[in-house]
Amino acid sequence: MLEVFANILTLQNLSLILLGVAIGNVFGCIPGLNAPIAVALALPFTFNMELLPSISLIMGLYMGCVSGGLVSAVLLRIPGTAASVATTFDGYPMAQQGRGTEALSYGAFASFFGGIFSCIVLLALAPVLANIAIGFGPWEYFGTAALSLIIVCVMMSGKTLKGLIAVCIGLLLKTVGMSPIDGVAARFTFGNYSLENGFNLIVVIIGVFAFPEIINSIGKLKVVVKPAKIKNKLFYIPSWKDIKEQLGTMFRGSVIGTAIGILPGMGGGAASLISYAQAKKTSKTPEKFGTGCAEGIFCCESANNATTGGALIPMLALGVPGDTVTAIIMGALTLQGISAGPLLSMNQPVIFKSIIFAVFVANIFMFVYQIFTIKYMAKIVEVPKYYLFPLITMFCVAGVISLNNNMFDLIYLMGFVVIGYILDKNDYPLSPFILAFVLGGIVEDNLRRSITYYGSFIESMQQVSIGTLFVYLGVALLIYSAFRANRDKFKRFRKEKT
Amino acid sequence: MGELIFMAIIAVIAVFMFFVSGSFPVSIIDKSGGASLFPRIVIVLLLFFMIIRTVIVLRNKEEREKVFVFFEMFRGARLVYLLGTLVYILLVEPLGFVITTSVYLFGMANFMYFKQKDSIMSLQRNGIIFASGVLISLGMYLFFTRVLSILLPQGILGFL
Amino acid sequence: MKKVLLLLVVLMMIPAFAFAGGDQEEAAPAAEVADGPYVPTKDITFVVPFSAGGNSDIPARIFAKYMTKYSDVEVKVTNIVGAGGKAGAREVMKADPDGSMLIMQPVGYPMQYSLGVAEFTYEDFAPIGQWLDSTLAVVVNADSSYMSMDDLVAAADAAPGTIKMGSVTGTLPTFATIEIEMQKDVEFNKVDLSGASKAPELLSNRIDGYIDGFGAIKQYVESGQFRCLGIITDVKIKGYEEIPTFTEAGFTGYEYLKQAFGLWAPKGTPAEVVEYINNLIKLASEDAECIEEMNALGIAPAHNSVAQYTKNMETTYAKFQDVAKAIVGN
Repeated sequence: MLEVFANILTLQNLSLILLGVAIGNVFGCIPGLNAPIAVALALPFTFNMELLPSISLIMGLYMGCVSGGLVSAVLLRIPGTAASVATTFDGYPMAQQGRGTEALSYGAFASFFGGIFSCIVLLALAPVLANIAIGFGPWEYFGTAALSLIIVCVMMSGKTLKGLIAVCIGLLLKTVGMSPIDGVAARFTFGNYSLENGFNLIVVIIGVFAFPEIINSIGKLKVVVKPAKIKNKLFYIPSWKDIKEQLGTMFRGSVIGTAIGILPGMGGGAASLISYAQAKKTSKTPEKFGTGCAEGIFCCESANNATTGGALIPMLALGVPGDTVTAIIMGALTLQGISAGPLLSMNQPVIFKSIIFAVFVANIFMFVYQIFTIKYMAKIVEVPKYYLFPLITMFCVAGVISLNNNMFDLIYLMGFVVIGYILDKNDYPLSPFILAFVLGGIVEDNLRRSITYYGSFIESMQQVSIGTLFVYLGVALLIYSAFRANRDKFKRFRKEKT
Repeated sequence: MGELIFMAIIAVIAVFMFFVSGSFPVSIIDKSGGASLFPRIVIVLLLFFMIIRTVIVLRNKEEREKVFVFFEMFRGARLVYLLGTLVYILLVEPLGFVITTSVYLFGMANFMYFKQKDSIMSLQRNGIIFASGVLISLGMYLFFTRVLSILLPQGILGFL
Repeated sequence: MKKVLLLLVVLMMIPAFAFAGGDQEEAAPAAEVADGPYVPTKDITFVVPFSAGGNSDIPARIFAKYMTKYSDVEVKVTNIVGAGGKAGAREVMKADPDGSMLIMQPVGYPMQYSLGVAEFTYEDFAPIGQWLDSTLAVVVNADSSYMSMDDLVAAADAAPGTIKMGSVTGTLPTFATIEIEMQKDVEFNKVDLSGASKAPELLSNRIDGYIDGFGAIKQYVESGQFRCLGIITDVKIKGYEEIPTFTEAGFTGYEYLKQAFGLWAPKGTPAEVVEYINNLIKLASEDAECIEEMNALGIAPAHNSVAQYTKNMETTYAKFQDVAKAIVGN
């Protein structure tokens, strides 16, 4: 262990982590620039570095990017990635009430908590948890993803049906593009090559969240909210009382985040949305969710950062990357001559632990960096709207172009602006819509894979597996919520009679 | 009423997609149900949920009379913003990022200032925002292309 | 040892350079040499049509490093991702034909063309040459009873359509599975694997075996979790001499299943530019450090002439057209 500390705690490595965190934070803020891009851009530099410095830089970038999304989500309602979508629900209203610094400090602390939690889990249980991940085949993935979609809808109390409609619209739009598995059918592209890749998730998120908010505010330009004066403190951390109150919320969020992170492909978007739905359901004051409550920030920020450690588990222990970023990190390790996989923790335990320790340090630096920069970040909301809105639009446009350098992305961006606006303003919840986009590929691929594995859907349902259990659970939840919605109606009906 | 029209439009599109999915090419080694399986399941589910929703709306007076928000999006200042942004998006490739963004920032800031304060910006302020608009877009362009090696449209300013 | 090798390589290269000088003086056709009449002025962009850090990106980055070593300009790797690798090709197709932008030709292009999902062939580009050889391998779980390819084939023969052989559908391993089926007249249950998590399916015995690049499965074979039944090539891999080649396993005519990566320039690129880059490939592929670095990943640098490569492309495209009929029908 001493060797591990000595590996990372050198001036060079620490400054590289800090550099990574600072750059990553900027990448996380700007929509379109995200962790995969940041790490990929760093690849050529790490190429010429030693192993440990390159790990330090990359882990710093990774943590910085994941946490950086917090700032733009809270202050501008622009989630840079799917992972920050849930943060906008309570973070943005809070910032609008002039409590931006508070929201950011909550988010920073929850991120820190989630990151450290999953790091400890990673260190202690990586090989064990990796074996659980192995147990997840196509049918289990299908079950998990389908259940996640249903849970998020069912927990939208009163809006379950609208949520399900939003899920179906999301899933349907997600099928546009080259068909998976067979790879021979270009679905609903009508001969347009640019559509073969389908709609880009980041474009959809920007279209559905960032633009409708601007359009909405433009209607009320004259209403000027005087932002509360930012107290001039050196740094911002939530009070001990807040932390104590939210400990349970953060713990649950971290567990959800780590668990979902382990499953390759699910990612931070699913984790934070499910954690948010779960926290709302179990909260004593669910009515406060969505109006700017602390709980709503703590639950999702702890979850999305906890996915980082989770995603590293199958990558380090199995050589199976959990998401795009970890895939690139694995590539970077390969370029350094380290092959992540079952042999790594056995043959090179020091390097294995050094990687985890670098993540640990990166989380600490991230927290320190954020609490000191909150003061400056929060000033964004003081910029007059007539400057802010054009600038945000410019950032979004540049971000979308930078994804694929394809102007067609901008065209359908406008389509999603309209869809997002209609859904949001008419009480069709957006989080099931986005989650359908995040998980749509997983649901379809694994449903069809299960069919090839077991012969048919019916035969898949006869497998003794957690997948089967989840499918039944999902159906049961739907029936239960339909029954409950009608029971309320029966009661009202009876009351009216008497 | 509006919500019913919205659902009807979605339903028409969904049914259309259902029929289009019939013409997808099929791979003979693919035993997973084919490219059209999943979209069809989703379309059936979507129609099912929308039928339930329609019944609920029809049987509930409150729901039936609820205003469906749609046209608000295309009114007044919002329309100007949407059209302005659309023009920006369409011109960004042929004219280049720097030119379109400078003009867009300048024009949109002026318009929103007018909308918020009911007065035009002073000449001096105009000069400042024009200059900073050019600087910001040029800075963005150089940062993306030179530092990050991410391409942004160069357009007619070939020397950049 | 390493130094001696390096010295040898340098010695071997001296004639090449000497030849280069001679060529310049006589202004002979711009062939064979790095410092011939054509001198690049712009950096060369090596477009990888897949994401950074992937199985195609890593060899490309290593190789580009050694190409830079022998060139006056820098060879930079850029990833243009999308449409199963086709986005990169389309982008390069539009680029100026001056040799400053090249596309890595993955094995996927001929397959996609044969399946009717790609609209371009090597004829829409100026083929430069092959630079990488990697070998496919068939693996099963080490706990399984399949000790050789014959065992696996016999099992498939006994229970047609039930032995689950995995591959990412539409990639080279799918074609390899079909080739095994055709040659041995058996039928597997060809299941689809997700590109990101192939090993867990076999580790947990949900499938019976799968085919993937040797570099990707190497570590599981070393850790004793997988057993490699055969490599789809006729050359033994150094250090793994006990693994039978496909010739030894009784297969013929499988040459097109080699995972060979090439390099294409936009159509209309002058011949001397193509020759210049082809020669860069030659020099890099003979570099001892490059060979060592690639071998550590279970792959090897390669080189052939422009004419030979173009001919290979022709046969590969034709062969895939044939086999694809087994997938799309007609």
